[in-house]
Amino acid sequence: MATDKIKLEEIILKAASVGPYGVTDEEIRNSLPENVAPNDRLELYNSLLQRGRLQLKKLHGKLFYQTVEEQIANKLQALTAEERLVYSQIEGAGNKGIWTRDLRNICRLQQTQLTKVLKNLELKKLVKPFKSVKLKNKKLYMLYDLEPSVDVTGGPWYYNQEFDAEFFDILYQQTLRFIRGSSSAVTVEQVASYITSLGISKEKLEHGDFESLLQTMIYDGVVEKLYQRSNNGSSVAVYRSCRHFSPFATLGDVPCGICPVYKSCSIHGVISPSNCVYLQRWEQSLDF
Amino acid sequence: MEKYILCQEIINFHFGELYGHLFWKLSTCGSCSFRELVKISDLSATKVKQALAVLLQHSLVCAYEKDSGRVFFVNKPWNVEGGEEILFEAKVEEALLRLRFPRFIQLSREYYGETGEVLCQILLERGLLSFEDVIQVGISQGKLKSSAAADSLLHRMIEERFVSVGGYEYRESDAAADPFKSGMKRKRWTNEDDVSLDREYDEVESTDESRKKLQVELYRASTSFMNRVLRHEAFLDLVVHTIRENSRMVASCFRAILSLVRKEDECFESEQSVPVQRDAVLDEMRSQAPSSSELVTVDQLNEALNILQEERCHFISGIGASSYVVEIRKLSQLLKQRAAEQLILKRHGTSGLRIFHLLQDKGAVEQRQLLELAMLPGATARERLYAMFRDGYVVVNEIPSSSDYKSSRSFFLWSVDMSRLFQNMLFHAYKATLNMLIRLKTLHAEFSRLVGSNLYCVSEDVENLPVQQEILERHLSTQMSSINYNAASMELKEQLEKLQQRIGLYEVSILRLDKNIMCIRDI
Repeated sequence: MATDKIKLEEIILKAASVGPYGVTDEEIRNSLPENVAPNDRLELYNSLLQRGRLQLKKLHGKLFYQTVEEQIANKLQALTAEERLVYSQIEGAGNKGIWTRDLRNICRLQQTQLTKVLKNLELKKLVKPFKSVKLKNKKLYMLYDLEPSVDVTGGPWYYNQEFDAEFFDILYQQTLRFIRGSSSAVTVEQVASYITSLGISKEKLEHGDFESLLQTMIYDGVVEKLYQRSNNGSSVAVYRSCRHFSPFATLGDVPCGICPVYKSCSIHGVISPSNCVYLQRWEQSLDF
Repeated sequence: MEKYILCQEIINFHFGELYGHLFWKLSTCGSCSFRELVKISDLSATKVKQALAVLLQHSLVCAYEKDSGRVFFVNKPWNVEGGEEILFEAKVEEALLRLRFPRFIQLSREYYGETGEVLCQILLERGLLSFEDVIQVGISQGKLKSSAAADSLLHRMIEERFVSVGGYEYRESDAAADPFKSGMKRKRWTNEDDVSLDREYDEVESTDESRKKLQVELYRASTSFMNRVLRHEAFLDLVVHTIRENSRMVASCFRAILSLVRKEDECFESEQSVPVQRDAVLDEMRSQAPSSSELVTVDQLNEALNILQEERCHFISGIGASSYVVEIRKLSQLLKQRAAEQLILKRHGTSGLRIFHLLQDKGAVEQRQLLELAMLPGATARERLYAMFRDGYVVVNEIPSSSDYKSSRSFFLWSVDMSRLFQNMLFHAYKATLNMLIRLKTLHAEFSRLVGSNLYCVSEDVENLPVQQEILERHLSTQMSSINYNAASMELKEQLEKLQQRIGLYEVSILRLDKNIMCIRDI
């Protein structure tokens, strides 16, 4: 009987380990043998819940059962009520993390108490602290095994919460070289496959990352976006190099156009065109 | 203020300090009567009269009756019968247009050859002249070889509106012989380009039958029409630099459309041009084709029109089945936009241009969002943003979130205000042009000093020298050619050569800056 109970528990745990949110009672019932009575099933649920191997969640008005790893369950067993409360809030925040101030407000714990709880959870490797690229002064907590979301980490362009200008610049230059070297306009997919083939980036870059890279190049005025008809009739965005030149844009060609102190310049002032060193240097640089 | 200082320097440069001083007083003090002008300028009545006469002749000042507002150009309006008070007003835009004279002369050369260039130059130098006087001056200066050829060309230029009637003069029959004096004896006329005014002239009958006065038309170079031609050239340049597919045919098609709308395209503020028919465009393209072997087909024309109408460019729009209009407002905005982008690129680099485009695209954003979207290191992006704010290219609006307007709780949204940006660019261009002019003057003074003779300084004793001749003497190129270099040492020759090169550099820079001013203001 005990072995039957263990086997049935294993079946329940296996069934509840699928899906990100667990399974409903009906799904577990379907995976169990038909001779298992509802009361027996309830007993099994209670036993697993008591040992922390099963977690109960409510979603869209329905109850879901989710398996908890044995190692984690053993750790959670040893938690106090406050620690369990804090842990559940951090777990609920998912991969976006939760701010310590929000934790304090929700759990209604004093700061010193909360700090102690968080420290214990960190020691048990149940939670980990990190900082968001958007709000560098805020300390966030999330579950130890989870990877932070892109919103928080900033995506592939950020390293240690700082913008990785060097990495971005390398990708930018390679993409620009590819576009300029192409005889016709290129799609995002073509750019992605070229950059991936170069093996510059260790982590996988998504379609959206390449789109944001190309959009930056459009803002710089080195690339333009067009729409072409594909074979199936839909319009596809393509990119080609461009150079927006105007023969009437001449203000930047003279020293006064790029002078940092042009606002202080006057005919009879200390800075004046008669004695301007920038103009003198310009004349000398253009001497034939 | 830079605009008025620039105008004063232009007048100083072209006419002299006396005329520049008077123009400055008129432009800064507003309309003045003759007496007021004498008082505020601290000049004698004779000098004021002399200066006004020249400025009126070159359309740099206009005179009008105080009560009725009726405009008339009179060389000596203080002598007009009737006793109405006459006010004088400076025409600042005309003064700025003088920077463009070399381009007008070049335009005349492109359209009418060397003879046309000479005729245009004479008219620009002298302001107003009668038909015969234009030819006479050209012949007497040795620039026109045949008066018959010049005559027919001048007729053609009048028909094609490069030259227009500027007024009338009443001459006694014996006054027609002297070309220098003839331009000074106008009584009263109105400018044909001012459509709001009716043409007026009086027939003045002399009591002495033997000295009957003749009404003579006076002509001037039609700067407004030539400005229009330059404006169209700017549009054509833009199209050529934007469109890459089939660019030669597209440029030819667009040129044909512009030449068809040119005569009617008077209003700079209109959004679209007058419509043109496809057949007319085809005929114009064929007439402009260098040889009959390059005949344009209907298919080629249709392809070019489709490219011009593309949503990406949208330089022209179709009306009905076979009519097209030029999107003037869109072209002007695009030209200004390109000029702004180039300036920002030169002053603030690629990062500044990126921030500018981002703000244009996203509208108003917070600094934090901007730094994320710009894909730049935070410090660099912040530095560029504040540098552009200092230059007036971006603006910031404070949106308070609490009723006490506490700045710590306010949102600061960054955005681009295009009209303010263009205004700042225009003032910057005025200042740069002024600096070039000042520097040019300094180099001219240096040149004169090196040569050892006071070539450029005109004597204040103007009564001994006809005014127009004195003004013409100010052109350095004429003087340079008459300098005898044989007597100069090697070192002096080298220095003079360097100075001439630098003078040329600044003259070219002024022309290029005027292009920028035209792009922002006159397009």
